[in-house]
Amino acid sequence: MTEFLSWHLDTIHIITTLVIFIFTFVFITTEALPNAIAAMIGAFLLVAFHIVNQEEAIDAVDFETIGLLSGMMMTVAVMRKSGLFEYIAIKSIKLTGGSPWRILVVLSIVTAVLSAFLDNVTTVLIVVPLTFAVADTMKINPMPMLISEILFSNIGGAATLIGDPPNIMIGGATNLDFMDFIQNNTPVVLVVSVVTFVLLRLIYHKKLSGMVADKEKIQAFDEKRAIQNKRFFYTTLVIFLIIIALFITHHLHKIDLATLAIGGGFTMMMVTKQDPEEILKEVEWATLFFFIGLFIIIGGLEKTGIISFLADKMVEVTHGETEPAAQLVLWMSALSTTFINSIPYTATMISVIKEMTINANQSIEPIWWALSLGACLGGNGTLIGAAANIIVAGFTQKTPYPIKFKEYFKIGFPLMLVSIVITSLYLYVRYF
Amino acid sequence: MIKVRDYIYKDILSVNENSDLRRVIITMKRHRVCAIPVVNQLGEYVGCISEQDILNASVPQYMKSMYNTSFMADIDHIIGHLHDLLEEKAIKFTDSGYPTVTPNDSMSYAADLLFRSKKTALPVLEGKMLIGLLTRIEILTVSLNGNKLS
Repeated sequence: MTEFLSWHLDTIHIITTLVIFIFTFVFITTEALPNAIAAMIGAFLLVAFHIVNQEEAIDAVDFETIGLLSGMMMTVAVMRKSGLFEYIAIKSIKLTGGSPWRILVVLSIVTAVLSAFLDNVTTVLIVVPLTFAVADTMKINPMPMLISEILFSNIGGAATLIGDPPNIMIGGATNLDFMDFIQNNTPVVLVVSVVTFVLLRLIYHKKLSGMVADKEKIQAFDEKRAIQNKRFFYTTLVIFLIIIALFITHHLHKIDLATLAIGGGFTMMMVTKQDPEEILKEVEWATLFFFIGLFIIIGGLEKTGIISFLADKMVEVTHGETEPAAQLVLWMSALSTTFINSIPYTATMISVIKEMTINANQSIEPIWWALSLGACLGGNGTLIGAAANIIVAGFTQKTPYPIKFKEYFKIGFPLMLVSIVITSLYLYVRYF
Repeated sequence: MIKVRDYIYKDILSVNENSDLRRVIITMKRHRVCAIPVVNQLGEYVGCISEQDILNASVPQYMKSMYNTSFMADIDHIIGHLHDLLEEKAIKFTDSGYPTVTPNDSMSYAADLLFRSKKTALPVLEGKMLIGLLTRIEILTVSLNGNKLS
């Protein structure tokens, strides 16, 4: 009798958890509720229905991810004031001599590099207004540049552990460190970048070479005036480089990334004499609570056995072989994150992959790279595929050049598929 | 209570909602005002245009979202954009939520309203009709006239 009752209770728990999970997912995807609210209410309900208790909920939160995210947010909030990012972008634009194609390439490279070290939303919030400034000055249509910047914010973000939320989460959940990401993701990111440029050249060649641009005018931009306080500029730059150097040398000192990021953020505030109240206001608390809520919901999925059920299914389909599993995860991730938010998707998949039992003599590592590359690059498929895409689209709606869903899809989706084909080949050649 | 009624600047200056921006700017300059009430064909008050509203419309969206725009100091963006707006109708720049007062309001209330909204002048309305304007200096000079509340 008690056995029956406990079985019954388990079933109720599984159903409740699934309902909460699905509702949260639907609310996030349809944007019916702000992400943070959807995730935190979902998490609250799981605890309220005693599916997980409060202690288990707290244990489920990956504070490595939360710490790294919040630390980087603080660091970047201070750095943004220095004018460094504007300086880099304007200096690069002036080097192009005003050719629209070269401006597209340079702004895309700047976007990719900044995205690799900052979060993508911050990057596009810096680069996109500058693109409009350049286009307005030269009297050209900024659309090709904007689309290219969206693509490269996601491509560049895939390159490093701190570049994109899926990577931060994978880094937090595994032993893979900063250099592992550089060694495994950066080569394929470089190949994808080159191929994307070639394809963009083919797509936009006519449009860009037909543009009559006021080339001389961009020389009137004065990058030096972007830096208002030289001392502040150099101080923030040096501290940021030290933080990155410590990330890279993790294997030597074994200080974890979250500690380094938070320590770095507060050191930055101390040295530059910033008001912590002001800087901490710039931390995206809503994003952090979104993550916290998701981790708790995934914790519920784990406890009720839903994750291990999914993991068993994955093992069944792939016979526990790494190669088909990596390819499956890659394509599944790319196609899913094209339409749904990559953050809850990745959080779920991390738990699933951890539960998978891979055949004894094989490494699980390629599956992590497949998840990371699929989730990051998949974001390029549609205008709603990643946070940066949504931000750029929203920004352009108030300008004379609004990006339309269809217009983006025609370019973004095929280019995303090409990047995933390249990644698929890369996984095959490099790991199998 | 010191009332608005006693201090209204009654030389009613306004522009029609269908006037173009060029006309608005010329009128503002000629009469040295920083904000001007807008009326419709029936002479009813519909809102106010301030210098700030016009500047706001001429600064491009992308510049507003930049932390710092000083690197663009040598480029004529804003003046260029403003030039493109000169033929647009006044109603497009009109702030219909601009604060207003009635003749029976106290000067202290008007002073508080001006201070909070950071505006330079308040239209004085009786129903829908504009009957005058109250400027910041009118309020500041109230105390000079021997008015001291006991």
